[in-house]
Amino acid sequence: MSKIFDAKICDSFSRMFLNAQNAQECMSNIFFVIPAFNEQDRVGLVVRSLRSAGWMNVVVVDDGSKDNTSRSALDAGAILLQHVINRGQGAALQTGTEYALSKGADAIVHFDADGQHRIEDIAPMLAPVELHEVDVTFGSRFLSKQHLPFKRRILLKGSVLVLLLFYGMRMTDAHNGFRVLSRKAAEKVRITQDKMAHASEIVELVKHHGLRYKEIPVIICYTNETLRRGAGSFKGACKILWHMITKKVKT
Amino acid sequence: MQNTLAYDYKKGENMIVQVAALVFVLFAWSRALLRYRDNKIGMTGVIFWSIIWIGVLLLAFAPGLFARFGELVGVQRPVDVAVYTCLIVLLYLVFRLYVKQETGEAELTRLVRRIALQSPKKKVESQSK
Repeated sequence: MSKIFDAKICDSFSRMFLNAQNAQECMSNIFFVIPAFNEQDRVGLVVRSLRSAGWMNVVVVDDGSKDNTSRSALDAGAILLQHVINRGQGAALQTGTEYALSKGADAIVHFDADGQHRIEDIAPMLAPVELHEVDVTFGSRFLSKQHLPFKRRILLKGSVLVLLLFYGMRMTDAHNGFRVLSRKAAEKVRITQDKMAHASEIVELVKHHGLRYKEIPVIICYTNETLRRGAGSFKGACKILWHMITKKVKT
Repeated sequence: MQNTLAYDYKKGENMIVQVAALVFVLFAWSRALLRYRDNKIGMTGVIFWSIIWIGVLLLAFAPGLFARFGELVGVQRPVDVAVYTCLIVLLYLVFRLYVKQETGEAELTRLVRRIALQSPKKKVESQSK
């Protein structure tokens, strides 16, 4: 257990957790919210990895999956919430967040179900929030100098520019699903965009509520399938831009 | 050479068009009234569609009114006035439908979330001996 809190991961984190008992007390109110849609092959492994690392409050929100995502998540030991029909990743994140807040969460980690996020990146992401340095941490692929496919890099850089123009937020990675929110931030950041535009909405709400934030370098583990999905596809990016425009018009 | 149909239409002498318009309007009007009787639409809806169908009847039986309005706004033919008016009304209706759909989607998500939060599940871990 002590190896998990190795000082190499994060100096401030290791100062906090000097022994396993302290670690359990500090970690007991950290909730992981994992939105999942048709991830029966991967969600179980993600949940087991988190629980093996000592994170016990793992909430999987099954967003109307057609496969055995629910069974995989339950068997792995997750707390399962089920959307009876598919509503989108943003909707699933909000459902999981509301559950975590109702259970007294001190911090909420948004984590992907497809194994793209690394366990070793959790500690550096959590530390600034737990030390009350910031209210929100966002993972950034560009700070970690990770190699990305050219098309995805262009789209993500474009989305960063759009965020700057729309909301005045300077970020290096606008659509990273790896985030940590303090309880205060989670209560203020109420996601209303059900689909992929929720990522931009979260950034907008962080700015709107004057929350302190920081970007932390993370590594995203891509596969051929995950590269096809998400905001990195041109179609996905167009949909997100459309939602941002319509929301801007509404407000 | 004058377009015969336009010439007859302007003089209000195209009986076929007027009869067809009358039959269609009566049919559409009856549908609106039946939907009102079944509580599918309210009185506001009945009034709205009545105005539309009266407009169609006016176009068929008194195109001169449209011609006069067309002169005011710079459109030559009465039927063009009707088409442009219909286009504007249709766009407005599409907008209203879009807003209703967005509202419906948000309410659906709230309902799905409430159901999910009412019954969280967790596997009971058996104690090992």
